[in-house]
Amino acid sequence: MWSIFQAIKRSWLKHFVTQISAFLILLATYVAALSIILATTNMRSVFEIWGKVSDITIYLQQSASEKDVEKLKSHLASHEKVQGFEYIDSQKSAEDFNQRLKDLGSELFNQSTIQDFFPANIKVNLNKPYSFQADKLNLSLFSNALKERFSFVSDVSYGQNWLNQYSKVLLAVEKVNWMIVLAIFFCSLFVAANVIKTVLFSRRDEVEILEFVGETPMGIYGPHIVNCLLLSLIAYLLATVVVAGLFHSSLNYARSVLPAQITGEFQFLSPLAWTGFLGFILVSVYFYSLSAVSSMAPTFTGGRWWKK
Amino acid sequence: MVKLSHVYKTYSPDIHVLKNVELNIKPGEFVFVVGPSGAGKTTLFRLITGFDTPTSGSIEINGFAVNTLNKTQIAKFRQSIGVVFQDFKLLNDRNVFENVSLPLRIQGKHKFEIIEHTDQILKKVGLSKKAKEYPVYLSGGEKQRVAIARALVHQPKLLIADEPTGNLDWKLSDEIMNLFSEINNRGTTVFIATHDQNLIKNTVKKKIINIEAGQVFQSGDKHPCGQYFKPLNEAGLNIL
Ligand SMILES: Nc1ncnc2c1ncn2[C@@H]1O[C@H](COP(=O)(O)OP(=O)(O)OP(=O)(O)O)[C@@H](O)[C@H]1O
Ligand SMILES: [Mg+2]
Repeated sequence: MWSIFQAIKRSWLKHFVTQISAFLILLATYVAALSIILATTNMRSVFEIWGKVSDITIYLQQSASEKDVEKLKSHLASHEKVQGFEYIDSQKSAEDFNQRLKDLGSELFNQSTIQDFFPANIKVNLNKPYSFQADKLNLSLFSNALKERFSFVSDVSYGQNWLNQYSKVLLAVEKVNWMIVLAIFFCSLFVAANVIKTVLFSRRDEVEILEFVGETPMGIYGPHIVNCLLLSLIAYLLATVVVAGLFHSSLNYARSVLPAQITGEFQFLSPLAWTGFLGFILVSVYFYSLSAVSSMAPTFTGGRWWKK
Repeated sequence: MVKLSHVYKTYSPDIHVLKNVELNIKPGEFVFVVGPSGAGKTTLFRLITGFDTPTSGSIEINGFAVNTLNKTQIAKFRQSIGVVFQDFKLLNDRNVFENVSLPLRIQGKHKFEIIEHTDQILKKVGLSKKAKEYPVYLSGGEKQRVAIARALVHQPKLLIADEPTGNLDWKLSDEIMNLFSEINNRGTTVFIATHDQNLIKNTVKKKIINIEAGQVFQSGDKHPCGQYFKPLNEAGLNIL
C-alpha cells in the first residue's frame, strides 16, 4: 500500500501538469454529465405537471338536437371517469367570447352574427388528473369512444396538439442530451486514457527496469489504476458540490420567475439518477484503467516496440 | 538449474543468432561463457531471463519453463534469480540504496530486513559511502557494482551476469570475482559471460562454454582458457 502511494507521489512530482490536466478533464466531464442528467430529469418532472389533463371539452355539431344532448348528458353522468360537466350552448359560447374581448377592451361582435361560429360544447371535469404521457391511450380511448357512440360529437379536445408537440420536443431534447453525455464520455475517455498512456510511455525505461528486477504487472500498473480511481473519486465529489451549488442558485432564480407549482417539483438527483451517474463513473474509471494498461501491453512481449 | 534444448533464435529475415543450442548447468556450478563479440552471448542471456523468446526450442531455469510463462509468472521467476546486464539498467531517479534494495521491496520484505541486507551487500561491493548518490553521478565501474549488488541483494539461487567486470580495473574485478566465488561456495549457481581471460584464469572451480557464431560447444576444466574450439558436429554439442 505504502509503495503504491510513493509511486503515485513520484508520478505527480514528475508529471504534475499532465496529471492536473487529466483531473480537470475528469472534473469537466462529470460536471457536464451531472448537469445534463439533472436538467433532463427536472424537465421531465415539469412536463408531468404541465401534462396533467383534468378537463375535456366535447364539441357538438350544429345539427345536434336537444334529445341528443340529453342522451350525451346522461351517458356522462353515469361514466366512471367523469366527475361533473357543464353544457354550454353556442349562444353562451359566443357570449363568453365577447366577454373575453370586452375584458381585453376590444370591439364587440354582433352576438347573432358570430353565434354560428361557436359550437355548443360540454366541459367535462374528469374524476382525477390524467398524465398526458402515461395515460395517453386511456384518454384517446375515452374520446374516440364518445365520437363513435354519438355521431353528433364533432371533436373531443384535451389540448392534444400542444401537449403532443411539447412531448415530442421533450423527447428530442432528452435524446440530444444523452447523446451529448455519451460524446463527452468518449472524448474524455480518449483524452484521459492517452494522458495515462503518455505518463506510462515516458516511464518506459523505468518500466523495463522494474520488469527486469521482477516487478509484477500489478506492481507496475497498480499505482496508475489507484491514481485513476483517486482522481475520479475527487473529481466526482467536487463535481457534485459544483453542480449542487449551481442547482441551488438557479433554483432560487427559478423561484422568483416561475410559479411555485413548478419549482416545487424541482429536485436534485433522484436515487435512480444517482445510481445512473455512479454507474457512469464506474464504467468510465474501468475503461480509463483498461485502455491505459492495454495500451502498454506490447511492452511485455519482449519486443521493445518503442526502440524500433 | 539451467537447461536449454534445441534453442534457435532468428531475427527476421534470416539473421540466425543462436543455432541449436544445448546447455545443461547443474546447481552450484560456476560457468563462464566466452566467445567473440557478436557471437550471441547477450542474446543467450536475454532468452534465459525471459526478455526475449526463442524462435524454437525449450528453456528451463530453476524449475521455470521460461518460454511458456505469462507476465506475472515471468516476474515471479525474475524475483528468484539475479541478473546483471551490460547496460546496468539502473533507475536514474532513485539513489544507490533505493536501486539496490528494489528486489527486496518488490518481494515485500520488511523495512529492517531491507536495510540490513542492502547495507551488507553495499559494503561487500565497496559502495557504502555512495548509498545516497544518484546513478548519474557514478562512474561506470560504480554503476556496474550497483547493478551487481542489486542482483545479489535478495540472495538468488542463480546469478546471471553479462560482462560484470567490463568497466572495472583488475583490482576491483578481482574483488567482484571473489564475491562471486563466495556466493558460489554458499550454493548459488553462477553463469557469467566475459571477454576477460584473467578473470577465468583466476577462478579455481569453473566450467567454460564457448559460443561462436551462435553455436555452443564445450570446453573442459583442464583446457587452457580463451582457446576457441571447433564445433564437434554441425548441430553443435551438448557440453556435458
Ligand atoms: N534485435 C536484433 N535484431 C537483429 N539482430 C540482432 C538483434 N539483437 C542482436 N542481434 C545480432 O545478434 C548477434 C549477437 O548479438 P549479442 O549481443 O548476443 O552478441 P554478444 O556475444 O553479446 O557480443 P558482445 O560480446 O559484443 O556483447 C549480433 O550480430 C547482433 O547484431
Ligand atoms: Mg553482449
